[in-house]
Amino acid sequence: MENKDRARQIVSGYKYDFKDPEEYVYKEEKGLNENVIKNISKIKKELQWVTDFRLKSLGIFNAKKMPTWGADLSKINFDEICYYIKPTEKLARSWEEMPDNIKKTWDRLGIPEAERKFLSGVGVQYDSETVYHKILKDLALKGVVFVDPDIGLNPTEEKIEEMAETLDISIDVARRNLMQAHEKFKEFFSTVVPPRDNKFAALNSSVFSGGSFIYVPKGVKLNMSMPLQAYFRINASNMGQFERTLIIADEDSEVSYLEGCTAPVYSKQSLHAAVVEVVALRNAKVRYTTIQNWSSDVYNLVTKRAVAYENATVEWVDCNLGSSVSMKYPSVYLVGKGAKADMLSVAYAGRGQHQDVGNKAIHAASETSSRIISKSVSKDGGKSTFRALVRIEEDADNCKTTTECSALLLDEKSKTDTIPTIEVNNHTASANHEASVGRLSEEALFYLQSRGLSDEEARAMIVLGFLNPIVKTLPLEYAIEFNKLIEMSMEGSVG
Amino acid sequence: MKMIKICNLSEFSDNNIISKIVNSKNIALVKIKEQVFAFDDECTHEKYPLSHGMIDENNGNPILECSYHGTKFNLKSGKVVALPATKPLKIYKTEIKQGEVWVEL
Repeated sequence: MENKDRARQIVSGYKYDFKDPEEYVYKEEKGLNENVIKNISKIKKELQWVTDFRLKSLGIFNAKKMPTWGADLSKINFDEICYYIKPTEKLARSWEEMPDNIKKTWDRLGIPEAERKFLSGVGVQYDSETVYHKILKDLALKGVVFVDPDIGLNPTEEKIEEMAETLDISIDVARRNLMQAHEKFKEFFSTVVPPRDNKFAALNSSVFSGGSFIYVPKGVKLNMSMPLQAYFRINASNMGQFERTLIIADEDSEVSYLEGCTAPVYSKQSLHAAVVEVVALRNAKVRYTTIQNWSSDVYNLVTKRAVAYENATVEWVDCNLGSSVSMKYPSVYLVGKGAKADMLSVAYAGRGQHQDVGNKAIHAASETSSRIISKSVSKDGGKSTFRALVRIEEDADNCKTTTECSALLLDEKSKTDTIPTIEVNNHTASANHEASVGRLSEEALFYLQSRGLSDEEARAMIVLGFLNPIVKTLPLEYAIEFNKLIEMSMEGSVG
Repeated sequence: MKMIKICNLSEFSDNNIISKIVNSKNIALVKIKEQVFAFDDECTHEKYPLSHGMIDENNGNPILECSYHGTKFNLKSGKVVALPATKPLKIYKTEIKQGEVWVEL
């Protein structure tokens, strides 16, 4: 590791604070206008309807006002953001094909090793584009598709051949898979989060690039302990990253997806405005895990929404460690009888951070159930806000819902707000709610120190114990890494 | 339920949504090609007026998009095609008789 990278990490306290030289194939001018949209569309060789969709979304973004609730977004300067950077000429078919500096980044983050050891597939995005995407061959032979959304939108013959070569499958199989997935893509794209939903969904819809498109055919069950993983890395300063993810789990299928994200620390802001749409058809199961660890200059404004059909299950596991400001509220719309939602959320707000996060569950069908569990930690003046909305519609009979919000304040400078809203419009529903706010127990600290731990170690252990019910649901390697990140964040928390 | 004359065909231009109040009910209407569709002028999401919405088409079906949060309804069936609404839209039967538009209310 270079000395200057190491020095930067020590000063910022953020282990992902390393920068690669900005050697790009294409970098758009700063600012957002129709020309930028048309350039992005031209570079991606998109069909006309996609360009029209982008331009219409730009109009919606310009017309919508900034939200008047939530975190302070007044410092975002949309004219100073670069909305598109193309880092490489084309998708790499192997790690070795990537430019050295980009490959080195993934090596440092441990992604190739993770792919070898315990993942069903990997996609990595560097600034605006996916640079590598691969899935296990046997999953491809079952018809599973895990590609960049550009391919989902327009599976050209060239892309089909590339996919066949990368995955070592026949062109006929690749074509069949992509065309089947493409039909599903067209059916569901932007139906879960339409551009008009909110200002940042409109922004994403106008400049989206990268992300994941996953289609799991009927009856195909992926190993839930071997997720498909995506990793998002911002490298440039004043950068906007706008990935668009669409996961469609067809009837009776199962899939687990995990995403991680980091960026170097800059003095100027960066913006991450992603949209995630999840469709779980009848009897399907989807688990979506996020470990968000953006640097302290990133505004993280994300719309994540799932729709669950009859007897389907959607699980959101959302861990928020980084960013200057995060606003995101993964939600599940339970539209089929017997559908289930399980939402676990962790937020860690340190100095200068505001984690304004939460969950929503909309019970629009009978016998649906939802569980929301949130844990937040605030320290060094950090602020965490948790918002929950549970709505049970009047014709949704015999629904059950539980919401638990717990907050831990580590010092007197820090803040926490919990804003749960439960609307029950059907008298057969069962709704439970509990909330707690606390400080570190002096008794527990004393006990741990009496066992030989330092004050700092004792505080870290208590915080890890507090977060453990959610962290233990992560794949083991990520749980270990997450705990290490928390420990690092707790360093210097005494005095 | 009975058929009520609501307006004249001459009040429409293609794909332009108009709004009428009938029996204290806000009803929105739109003429698409030769057919008139009538529906509640209230999005089932957060009750914003659908008469401010836009008309589109998907696989031969007329689609109404709410201009506030993007919900889409199939105007033939009232079914939700895009979230965030979850409840279908009430669609009313219409007839055109000698230049007049009648709605079953």
